[in-house]
Amino acid sequence: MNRARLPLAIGGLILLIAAVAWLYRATDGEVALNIAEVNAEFRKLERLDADWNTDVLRSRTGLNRSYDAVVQPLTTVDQIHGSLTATVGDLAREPALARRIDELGDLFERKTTLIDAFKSQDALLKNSMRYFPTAVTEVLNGVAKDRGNADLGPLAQDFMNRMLHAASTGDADSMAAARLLLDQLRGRPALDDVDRTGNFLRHAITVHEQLERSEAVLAEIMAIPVTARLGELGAAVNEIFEQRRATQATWRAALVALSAVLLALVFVLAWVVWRSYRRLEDAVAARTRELSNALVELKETQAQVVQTEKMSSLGQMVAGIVHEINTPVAYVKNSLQLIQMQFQAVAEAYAHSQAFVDIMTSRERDNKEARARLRQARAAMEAAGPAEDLVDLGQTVTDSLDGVARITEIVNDLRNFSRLDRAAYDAFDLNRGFDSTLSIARNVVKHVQVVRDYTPVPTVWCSPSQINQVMLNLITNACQALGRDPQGTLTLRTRAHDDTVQFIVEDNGSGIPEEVLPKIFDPFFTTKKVGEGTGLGLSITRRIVDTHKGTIEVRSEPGVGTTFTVTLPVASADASAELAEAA
Amino acid sequence: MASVLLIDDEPRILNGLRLLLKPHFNVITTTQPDEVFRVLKSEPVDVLISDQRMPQMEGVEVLRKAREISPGTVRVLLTGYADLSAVVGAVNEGEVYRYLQKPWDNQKLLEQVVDASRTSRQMRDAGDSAAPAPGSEPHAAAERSRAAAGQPLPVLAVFDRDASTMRALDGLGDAGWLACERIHCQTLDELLATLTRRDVGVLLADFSQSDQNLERLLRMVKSQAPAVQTIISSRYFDVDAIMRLVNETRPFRFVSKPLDRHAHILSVYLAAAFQKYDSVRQNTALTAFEKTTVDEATMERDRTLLGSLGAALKQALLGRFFRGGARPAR
Repeated sequence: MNRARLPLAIGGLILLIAAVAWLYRATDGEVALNIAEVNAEFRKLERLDADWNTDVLRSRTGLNRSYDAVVQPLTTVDQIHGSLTATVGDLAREPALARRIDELGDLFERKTTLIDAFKSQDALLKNSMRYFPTAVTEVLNGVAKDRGNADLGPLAQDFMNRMLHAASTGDADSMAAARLLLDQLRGRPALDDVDRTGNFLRHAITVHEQLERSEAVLAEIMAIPVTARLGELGAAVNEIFEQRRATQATWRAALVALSAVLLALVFVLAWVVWRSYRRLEDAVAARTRELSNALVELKETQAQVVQTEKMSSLGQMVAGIVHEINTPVAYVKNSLQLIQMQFQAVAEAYAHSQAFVDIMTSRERDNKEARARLRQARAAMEAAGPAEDLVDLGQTVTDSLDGVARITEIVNDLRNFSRLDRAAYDAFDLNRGFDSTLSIARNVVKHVQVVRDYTPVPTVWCSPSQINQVMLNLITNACQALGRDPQGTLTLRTRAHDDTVQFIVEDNGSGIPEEVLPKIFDPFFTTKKVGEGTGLGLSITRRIVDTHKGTIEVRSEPGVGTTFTVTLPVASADASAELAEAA
Repeated sequence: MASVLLIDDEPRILNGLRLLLKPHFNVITTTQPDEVFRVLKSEPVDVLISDQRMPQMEGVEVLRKAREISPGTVRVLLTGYADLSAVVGAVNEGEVYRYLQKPWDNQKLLEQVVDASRTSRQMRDAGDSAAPAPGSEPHAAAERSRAAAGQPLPVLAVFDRDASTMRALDGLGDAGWLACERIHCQTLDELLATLTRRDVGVLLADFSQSDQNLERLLRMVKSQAPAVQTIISSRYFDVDAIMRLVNETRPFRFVSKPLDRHAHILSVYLAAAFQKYDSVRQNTALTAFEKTTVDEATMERDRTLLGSLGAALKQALLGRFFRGGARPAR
């Protein structure tokens, strides 16, 4: 994945998670509002209102002996607003609903007020009604007995009945009839006689007024649209609830969609991570392969370089030895060819001389024959050259034998040095090691003065060929440091200590600069020109010393000289076995 | 009697050689280089035979100094084990006449020394100008005389396909000998044709491939037109190959490739080579020094192997050489 896209993706993911969390919270609100409960609450309120109305009506008809039933809901009504608000829960915050609830509260309040009014009117009415039969009886017994007023009795009675009927049923016909009757009754002056009518007319007017007022209040109570409003509120609540539920459903759908997206994203991310991981793993595997290949190559190269170093030391040594051997071979060949060349003439001269001597010493000497032989002998001798030439020739024979001896010596030195025909590990005398190395390095050390400062040292259990290699390396380096300085001196020392022996290679040459000194044992470090040294000589030297559990130290002062000291343990039998195993 | 001076750090070698050469030469032997220089200053020496590896001084150095002291002395390097720089140096600095290898064959060595002494005598007779110092006047004089005579200048034949060589040659500027035409030959046939048709003074040849045919051609050029000077370039030199080339094709100089790294040396060598060419052309006696050790049988084989062009080359070179040689010497 692109580096720039990663933070973007992470940002997007965080936003998505936030959105999902918000949506979750939004949809979580549903639990707080149970619409069924709300509706039940509304039904309850409706029923309460209906009961209330019934109670009011019952109170009018006198079915309710007391007003308790009417008064009881009032306590409930006080709580209605709060209860409604509580019921609809956070829907109450909807302004439309709040308005409706307030309105409903007002309606209930007004109804309460009206019921209170009704109660007082009704109480007055009931009181009047209770006295009414007495007043009618007084009319019957008083004025109705007068002539011309006999109809007053039935009129009053009829009016009372109508009134009673209207009061208990609210029947509008009865009320209208009662009104007509009352008008008739008002028109009768006889009734103005209070003493004889028991104040019937005033009473009738009051009852009638009272009844009308009571009916009006009742009508007003009945007209209050609590039920309708309650229904509307319910409908509104339901509508808002439905709206909310729809919104919530939308949100939920969005939540589901977002969650799906989130999940998909998580999957994508997981896939990306997995792919990255696989790629990383592949890359790591590839890199590991590369590294291990490089390691193998490096090892091979190292082996090659070590081999090259060996070959280069060997090459230098061989070059020297070739020269050493070639020179005696050259003069041995020369002298043999010279002898071969001369031999014919000398042999001929000898043959003629012998024949001449034979003739001269024989009894019958043939002078002619003798002269001929002498002539031949002389000619042959002339061809063979003067006698001192033969002496010289004899000298070349001596030279040749010297040459052969020299070659033999070199061959022995080589054998001693390489020790290929001996055990790899052997008890080794360092003094002899120095000597055989010097023979091999004759070509290298021929320009310097060699001082051998040997002391008797115990033999060391070691690989003689490797220790010889160390000695050759150190001696070669020393000679290179000495160059062709006529004052150049190479000092070889051996020293014995308690359980170690030392061999020391010292020169009074150019020395090693201080800054170079710590690096001389590093592989590939060389101060020589390209092609002249691999820079591995001292590195290999140290490795050989290390495998022998020895130490190598160097002291150097520029312009004064350099001393290499190799210390080797005089190994015990155990250590020798170990060493042999290590080899 | 011709005199031969021998130097070797091994007295037994000197003794053996003295015994071999004594019947034919006045033999002087020494183990000290200083003695060599003293003798060269004090008396005429025909042949100097020097060992290469000696403690006081290397053979190349001895030859180089000897050349300065006594240019007429023919120099021979006797070497058992010679490193490359010594062998190349012996040619470039010591203008060595022959390489002899240890161990030698007495008969062959004797022949070589006799040949060398004869060369020396011929050259001394010719006026002892076999090795004039580089950069001196004769070449310019020869050019002027050629120009005056209306004769074309000798050309430089280049048998080398490397871009680095082109760069080196292009970068040399236009000093002296560069007035010469340069002919690039892509193939050996082209080179043969050029050698046949043109007055080639110097041949710059790439020997990196150790091409045997090139070697044959060089042998033939040297035997038929000894005045032509060869500069051999190579990426690496093999001691045996160099020794063989020196003895059989007498290259004037060796130069390491890539040439653009050694442009200055190349220009010095080229100038000296043209100069040498002119000297030899003007003085046929000097061709003695250009002689090779190649026998007639080898030459015949070379001609066969190089085909008909080889024969044509021989004719052309012979003709040219003798025309050139017939010119009155100045």
